[in-house]
Amino acid sequence: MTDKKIDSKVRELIALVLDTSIPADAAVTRDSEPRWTSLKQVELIFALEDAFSTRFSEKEMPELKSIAAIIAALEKHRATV
Amino acid sequence: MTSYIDPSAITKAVWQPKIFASAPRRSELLPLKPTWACRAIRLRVHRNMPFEFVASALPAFLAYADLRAEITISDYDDALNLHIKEGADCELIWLDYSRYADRFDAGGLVQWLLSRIQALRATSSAPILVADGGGASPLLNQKLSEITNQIPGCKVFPRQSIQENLGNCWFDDRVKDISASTMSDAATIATARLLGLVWLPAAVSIGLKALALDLDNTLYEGVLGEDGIKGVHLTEAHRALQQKILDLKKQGLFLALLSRNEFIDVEKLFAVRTDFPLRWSNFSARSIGWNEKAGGLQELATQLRIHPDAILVLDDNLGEIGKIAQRHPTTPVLYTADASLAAQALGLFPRLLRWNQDRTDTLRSDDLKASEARAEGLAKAEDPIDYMRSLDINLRFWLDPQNLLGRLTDLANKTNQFVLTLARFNETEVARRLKDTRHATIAVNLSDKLSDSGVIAAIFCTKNGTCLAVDEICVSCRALGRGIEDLMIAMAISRAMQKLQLKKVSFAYNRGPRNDPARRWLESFTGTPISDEAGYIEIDGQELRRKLTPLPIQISWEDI
Repeated sequence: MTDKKIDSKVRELIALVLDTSIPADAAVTRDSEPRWTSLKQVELIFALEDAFSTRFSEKEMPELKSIAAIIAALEKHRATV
Repeated sequence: MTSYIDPSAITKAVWQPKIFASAPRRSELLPLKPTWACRAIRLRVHRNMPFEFVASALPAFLAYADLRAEITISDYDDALNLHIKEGADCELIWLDYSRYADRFDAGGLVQWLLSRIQALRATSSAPILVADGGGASPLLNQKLSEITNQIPGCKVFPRQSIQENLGNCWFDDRVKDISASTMSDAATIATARLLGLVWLPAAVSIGLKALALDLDNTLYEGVLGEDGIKGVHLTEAHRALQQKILDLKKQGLFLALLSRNEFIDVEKLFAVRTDFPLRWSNFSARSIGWNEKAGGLQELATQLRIHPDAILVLDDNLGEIGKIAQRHPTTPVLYTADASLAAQALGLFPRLLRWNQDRTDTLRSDDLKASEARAEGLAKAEDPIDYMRSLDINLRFWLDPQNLLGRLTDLANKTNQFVLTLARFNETEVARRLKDTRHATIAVNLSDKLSDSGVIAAIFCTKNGTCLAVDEICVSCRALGRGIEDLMIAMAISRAMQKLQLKKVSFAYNRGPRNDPARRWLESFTGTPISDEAGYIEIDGQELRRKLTPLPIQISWEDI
C-alpha cells in the first residue's frame, strides 16, 4: 500500500468511527476533535488493526493520538513485517 | 411487460459475505450503509461496562434486518438505578458481573438482579434482554435463566455461546486500561451480530414462518434440467445447508419449493436421490413450473395460508431475487450461490429465532396437510354436519392460562386475516391481563381426528362498567373455515361474562391491511353492518346465548 493510500484509508476509518468528515489535508488530533474520546480510541484501534492486518502493543495504543502518529506507527509496523 | 430488479435486494446479497462471515471485520462493516428503509427502534442499555464498541458495530447488522436503533446508554451504574425518562422498544441489561464478586455469591447476585429486573418491568413493558455472565459463569447463567422465566417478556442474551465459539479470542487485555473492558474486537463484533441479526429482531419483529427454496445450485450443485437427476451433485456444503433447513423445519417452519423446473422431474429427483437430507414429504407447499417466481411465491403463501412477508426465499439467481423483491418488497431473500455461507446465514438470519417458542409451532406442518384432507372430505360429504361429527372435533378452553402466556402473545401479534382490532398486546401486557381481575383472557385449543392444531384462538376482554369489552379476538387461519368460529367465540365470551358478572358485550373493531374476514365475521355474528374504520358494536347477553347453538363437537374447560 502506498503512503497516499495509507493516509487515505486512515482518514476514511477515522471518519467512519467518529461519524464525521475528515478533510484530505487536515491535521486531525485527539485534542482537536472532541468526538475522539478514549472509547472511540479503542474502536479506532480495532478498525485500524483490522484494516491493516496489524496489532498495536499496549504501549503504542495511547500514542496513536493523531493522523500523523497513526501513519507513523503503521509505517513502522510495515517496516518490521 | 418490463421486469424490474430491486437494487436493495441485490445490495443485501452483496453484503452477505461481510455480514455472515465466520469472522466479520469491523473495517468492512463500518462502511455498509443501507439503501433501503429501516424501521427505527429504541434500544435502552442499562450497564456497568462499555457497550459502545458493540453499539458501533450494530448498524450494519440491524440494517440487514431492516432496522435501525436509537440507542440510549446509561451511565456506568453497578446499582442499576434505572433512570427511565422515555419509552423504549427493547431494554438491555449489560453487566460485568465480576464487579459484584466482593458483595454477592451467585445466588445473592441473581436475587438482587431479579429485584432490579422487576423494577424495570414495573416501569417498562418493552422486551427485556439480560446479558448472561459469559463462559466463565455457568452457575450464574443457569440462575439467570431461571429468574428471567419468572418475568414476562424477559430473556437471557447468551454471551456464553459467543465466548465458547471465540475461546481465548474473546479477551483483549491490551484495552483494559483505556476502556475498562477486556472484550476483544472479535467479541464485540460477534456480540453485535447476535444482537443485531438475531435477538433484537426477535424482540421487536414478527417471526418468519416458512422457507421457500430454489433447487438448482441452491440445494445441490448443478442444473436438474441439464445434468439430470444423477448428475446434480450434493456437495458437503449443500448437505450441511439441507440439514440446517431440516433443523429449521423441526423448529416449526414450513418448507416450500419454489423452482423453475418440470414438476415431474423434481418429484422424481427426491424419489431417487435418497442421499438428500431433505425429502419430498418435507415440503408443505410447492410452486414448480416455468412461471415467474414472484407469482410462485404468492401461490406458496396462499397454499400455506400466510403472507409472503413471513416467507424467507433462498435462491442463487440475483435476477430472480431482484424480481421477487420488486413484487414482494417486504419478503426477505437469502442469496445462496455460496452454500456454506447460506448455511451459516440460516443460523443467524433475522426473524428465524422466535421470541416465544411454543408446541403449536411444531404442529403447523401436519395441520396444514390435514386441512387438505378436511377440504376434500367436506367436498365429498352429503351433509356438512355429519362430516363435522365424523371428525371428532375437540375444543379445549382455558380461562386466564398463565402457562400459555407465550402462545397468547404470539396470537395477539398476528397480522393475519382474523384479528379484530390489531391491539398487538406485548408479553408484559398479556401477563398483566392474566393476573388482573378486571380482565378475562381465553385460549382455545382445537384438535380433531386428523390433527392437533394447537392453541388457535385468543380472546381478550375487559370489564368496562356494566359491559364486557372484547378488546381483541385473534384466530389462527388454520382454524378458519371449519364452521366453529361462532360457537367457539360465543363460548369464550360467555365464560368471560360469567367471570366478570356482566350482561352486555361490546366488540371493538379496527381496519387493518388484511383483516376484512374478521370484520365480515363480526358483521354476521352481531347482525350489524360495519362501514367505519374503527368502532364498537354492543349486543346483550341473550343475543350472545343464541350463538351457543350446539354442534357435534366436544367442548371442555381446562383447569389451570
